[in-house]
Amino acid sequence: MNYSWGSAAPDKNPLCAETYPHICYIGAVLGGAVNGATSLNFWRYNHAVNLDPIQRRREGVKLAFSMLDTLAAWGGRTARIPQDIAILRSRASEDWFQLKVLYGDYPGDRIDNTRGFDHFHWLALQLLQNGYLFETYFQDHAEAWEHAESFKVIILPFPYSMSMTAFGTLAAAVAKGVRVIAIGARGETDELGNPYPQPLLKGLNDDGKVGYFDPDLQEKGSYPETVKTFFKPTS
Amino acid sequence: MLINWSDFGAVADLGVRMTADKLIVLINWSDFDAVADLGVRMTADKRYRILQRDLDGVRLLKLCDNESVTSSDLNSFRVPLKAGEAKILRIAE
Repeated sequence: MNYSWGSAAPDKNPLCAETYPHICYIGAVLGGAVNGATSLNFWRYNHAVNLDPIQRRREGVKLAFSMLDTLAAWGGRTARIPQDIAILRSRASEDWFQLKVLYGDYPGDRIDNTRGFDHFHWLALQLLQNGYLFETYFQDHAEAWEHAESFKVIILPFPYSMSMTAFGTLAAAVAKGVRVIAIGARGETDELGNPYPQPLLKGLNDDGKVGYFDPDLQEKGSYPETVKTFFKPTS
Repeated sequence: MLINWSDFGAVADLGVRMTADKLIVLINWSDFDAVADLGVRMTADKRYRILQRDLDGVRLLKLCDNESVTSSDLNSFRVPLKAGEAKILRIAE
């Protein structure tokens, strides 16, 4: 957990008490624990608990770990997130697309270079704010989500680069009836950035077996119409 | 399970982990009060109690002044959160 080490000196950083209220510690600890964290440490912990002259942050840390104890006592260690939605984030996609935008033959604006990263954060925010629970895996490590068929929905926030192994695992899940949604890309390159003759997911998308959602999220992601369209039920 | 945040735009977070009991973690990151509308599917014909851990301690959460609730009560209930507040709910028989 990160935190402002400068907050130990309120004269240098007088806004710290407002910038880092108690919920920064409590929320980070509880949010981490329910999403699989097994060890929780604060960077510059000594600044938070010892060097803060008004002892405000010490109280935040104490509350955070006190609530974590309650969560553990109530079974938080062995509890599991419902296996309904899986997000498959692809770091390869983010990087290969960024390289294409910055140094390749990309015809659009350079600001698009963070598209993959932005898509993932947009998706996570929408699901959290609307109460949908999810697990996250790296698409690039297909062995980590080979049980994908146990999920009801799989969402790929930006599957620009996809290995044949990952495609095979995904296609097997589709065959078992899992709904798959790709956002903004359909497997244009392999995991090493080499273009496929045609996007890997195009066939499944054309057959209606993989949904495709492609608004300009960097421009219109927060528009109510965009969010409403994403959550609109389909048959 | 489905959770809706009543205040549109509230920067709020949640986490749910499932055991035989249900654990729900609600975190209101925003600097204004929010209300979470919750719905939890539980086995019918049983009665449940909801324990709440908040910043002050642990207490029994009452729905409509009832200490024990039915599965239909849990289909839809509301939990308010103050600005910067976090709560852990444990729903158990």
